Amino acid sequence: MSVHCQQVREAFFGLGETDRAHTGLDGLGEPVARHLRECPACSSLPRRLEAQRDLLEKLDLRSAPAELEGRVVAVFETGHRQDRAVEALQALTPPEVPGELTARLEAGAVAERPALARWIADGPRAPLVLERLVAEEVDDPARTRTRRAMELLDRRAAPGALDRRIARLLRPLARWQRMPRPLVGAAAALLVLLVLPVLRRDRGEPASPTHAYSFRVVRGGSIRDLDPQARRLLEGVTGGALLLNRGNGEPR
Amino acid sequence: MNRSRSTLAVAIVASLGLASCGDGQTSFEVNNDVSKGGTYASTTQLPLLQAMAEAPFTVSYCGERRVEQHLDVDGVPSVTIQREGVCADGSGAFSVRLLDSIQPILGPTELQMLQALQSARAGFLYLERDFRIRDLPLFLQNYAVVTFPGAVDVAGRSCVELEVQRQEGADRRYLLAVDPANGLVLRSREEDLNGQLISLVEFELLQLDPDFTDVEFHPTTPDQPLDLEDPDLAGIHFEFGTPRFLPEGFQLRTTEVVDDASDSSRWVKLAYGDGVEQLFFLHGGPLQRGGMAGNTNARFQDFDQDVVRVLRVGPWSVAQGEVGGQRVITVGKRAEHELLLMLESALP
Repeated sequence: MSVHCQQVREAFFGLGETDRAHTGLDGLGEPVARHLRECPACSSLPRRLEAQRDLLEKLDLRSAPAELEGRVVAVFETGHRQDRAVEALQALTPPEVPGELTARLEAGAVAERPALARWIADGPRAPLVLERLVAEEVDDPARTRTRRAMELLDRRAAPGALDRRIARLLRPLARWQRMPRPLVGAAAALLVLLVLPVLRRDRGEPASPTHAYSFRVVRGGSIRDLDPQARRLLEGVTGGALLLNRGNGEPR
Repeated sequence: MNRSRSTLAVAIVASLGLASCGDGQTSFEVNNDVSKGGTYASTTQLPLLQAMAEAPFTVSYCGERRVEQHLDVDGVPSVTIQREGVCADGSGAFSVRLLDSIQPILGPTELQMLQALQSARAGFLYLERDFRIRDLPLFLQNYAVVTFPGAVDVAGRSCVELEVQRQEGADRRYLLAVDPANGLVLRSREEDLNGQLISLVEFELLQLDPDFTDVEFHPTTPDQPLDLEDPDLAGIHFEFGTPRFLPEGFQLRTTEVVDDASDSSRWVKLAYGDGVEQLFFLHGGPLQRGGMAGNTNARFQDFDQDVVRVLRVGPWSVAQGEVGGQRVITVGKRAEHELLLMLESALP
């Protein structure tokens, strides 16, 4: 397609449907209309456009999902929610203090109630628990929502079988509790004497997640550190993802 | 590789036995209390599961599919998206060709290199990478299957949806779209229990009983299981140990000897399976120090003796090291401690 064809095509498709309907090809200007008549490549443009429009008009209209409207509104309104809340709060008229309260305060009720006196001295404050809840909400909204959602879950009763198992497990303990206290004390002392040497001997070995193995475990590193056998296996089972992975901008 | 019909019949009978005589935790109890409106598969789904196990080798088809991998590599999230062509002649032969890399976008030379590499490992991709029921009785023993009502359309085929997840200790699940007419898994979405995508293989085009004139099938060699009791095991001149500990539900599937051309050493490679997942153990014998730089042995010399390095790539864990003078590697989608226990249990 020559540059001229490209210009004609852009001009033709750029013209609105109303313009075309009212003006026909003449509305495109004589040079363009002439080109459309004479150029074999472009002469079918009007027909193709009409065909496309006809096809589009034949398509069934689909209704937008019900939640779409709500989502659109939510998206557009989200940015203004805070402003509207502030405006609404500012528009509120402060409630007047009841006359009876004023009279009682003046009558010395404050002196009898230290908490009320502090409240008046410090000014109105939200309860500490409310401040804590707001702080938690701001710090970690997801956690707060999760906690709320969990509070809504039904609490399920434990099955009877569990009660029976717990009772069975606790039965030996109950027998211990019935034993004479001096006897229990002697048994505990004997146990300490037996276990203490073992504990002291083990204290010299560092507690490590790898202590159960006969080798030392080193975690992390790069796939470049892998033996070629291991790397080939990994490349195979990950379908070449490792080959395609670009470290430092270079293909592996 | 191809299972005979009689073997499959035995498998079905065995699986029915599992379904009816299990410990009450088999996957074939009908239970409507499953999330997302699904129900646990009943024994009526056994023919479909059997077809799924057979389909890669008994259905004649060609298709194009999208393959996504979402992995953390070296601690960096990595997404790769490829388009590949796959064919199977219905009697065991298959081919897998990389058509394009959508992400990352590769230059022509890079793409050709990758295509050559992928072509060389087509067998591994078809047999080991894709979701497949590799052992039906074992699958029934280890996995729960949930079916969903209705049908989904994949590559122009109406598919049933299944959710497949380990019965015990699951950390991932597979959401499958299966063509009920032939058992082909047309979409396999692997995700963690939070719904985070790990991998996706989805057919975009599928043609059944196509013309294979231009298809170059991957050469396959029949399995030749090793006799692990043989002291002269396939020219292995070192004391060879097999893991005495295996993660629950895994069994030995295949044994083979792998040659390492870089230093002429040989490895014994054992593949274990739980019906779906794979677990590999490689024993390379004693380390020959002083090898050429860059070869296998030189790589192992980077590590101290009796040190095992553990690496995580997406759901895969790798443990490799030189322990007691022996080179050992385990690779699998299992917890680190299971791989380490497995590795240690193989040591003399």
